[in-house]
Amino acid sequence: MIPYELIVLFRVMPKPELTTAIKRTANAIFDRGGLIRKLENLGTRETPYKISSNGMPHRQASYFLYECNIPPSKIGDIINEYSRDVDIIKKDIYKKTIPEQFECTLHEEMQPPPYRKDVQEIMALARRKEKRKFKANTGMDYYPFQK
Amino acid sequence: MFKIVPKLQLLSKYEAVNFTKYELVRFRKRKPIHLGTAKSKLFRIPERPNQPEEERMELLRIFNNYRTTMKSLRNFFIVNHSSEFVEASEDPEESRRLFEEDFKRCSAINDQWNKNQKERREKFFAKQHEEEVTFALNRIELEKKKAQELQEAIEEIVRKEKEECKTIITPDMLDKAIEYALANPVDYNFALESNGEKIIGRNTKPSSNQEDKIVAKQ
Repeated sequence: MIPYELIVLFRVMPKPELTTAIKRTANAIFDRGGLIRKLENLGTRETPYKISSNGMPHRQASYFLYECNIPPSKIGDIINEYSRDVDIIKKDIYKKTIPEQFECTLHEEMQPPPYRKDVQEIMALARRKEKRKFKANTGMDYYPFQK
Repeated sequence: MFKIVPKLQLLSKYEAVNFTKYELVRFRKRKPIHLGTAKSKLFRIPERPNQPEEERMELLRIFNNYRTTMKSLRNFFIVNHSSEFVEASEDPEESRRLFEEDFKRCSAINDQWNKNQKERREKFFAKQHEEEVTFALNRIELEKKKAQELQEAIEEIVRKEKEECKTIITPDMLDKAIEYALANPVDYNFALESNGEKIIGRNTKPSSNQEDKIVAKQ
């Protein structure tokens, strides 16, 4: 099953009500044959903008992150159910992306161009493509004949 | 001669166009043969080359002379420089013997050629066979390696899944998980200090406690 990240913004509620809302949200996943791998509370904080949902403007929300596996055919169903939930302000579901492993090379990239490895490679390539110039071997530093 | 196809853009794809009548682009200097003779040159009769009889006879004489000389020269060389020809022409017995000798000689050369060719052929096929065998063996090795890598990758996935299975939240563990989540809010925000230190948290104030900080750059 494909791992998804489900982010849900609940309206600000007292703890028991919030617990029930979270449980309801989680059970919607379980009922459709899904798995929850991780549940994270990202805190209650101000929303970046005023969100109107269920006939109420919201300026604060409790952010929750579910890492779950859901059958892809059931995602629309789950979103539909959450959109009818009065406690949910906003919800979104994303495919989980695994961050690529890389080595930090910023200090190399900050160097002036002639010191950078990739620039040096390009310069070597250009030098290789340079056309050979005919040498007259006259022993003079100028061309003796009329051009 | 250059003719522009009239209303070419109006032609539908079902209309057949006789393109031999037209020439859309000329890319060589010569006029193409299919355009035929120009109207103005159609009835022109080219003048026949006129050679005086005396000149013709003179040329014929010179060429006959040349041909005769060359023929006699050729025959001279053949008769003088081919001793076999001279000897063979004298006695039929002798000529037969000479022929057989020549045949033997040629046959020996031919046999030698065949022998060399056989050696070369055998060497070629042996080399080819060896190459094929090496290629096949390499392929087998490669396939084995690939299969092993695939198996390892699969096992890695299985191992990871097995590890993650331990932390999976089941419906009966849900209450506990919710309680834990509510008690431990997570914050992925962080700030970087100029010396490369990573300060995790949205509202965390820089503290002297080393555990709160993570060094981002070595």
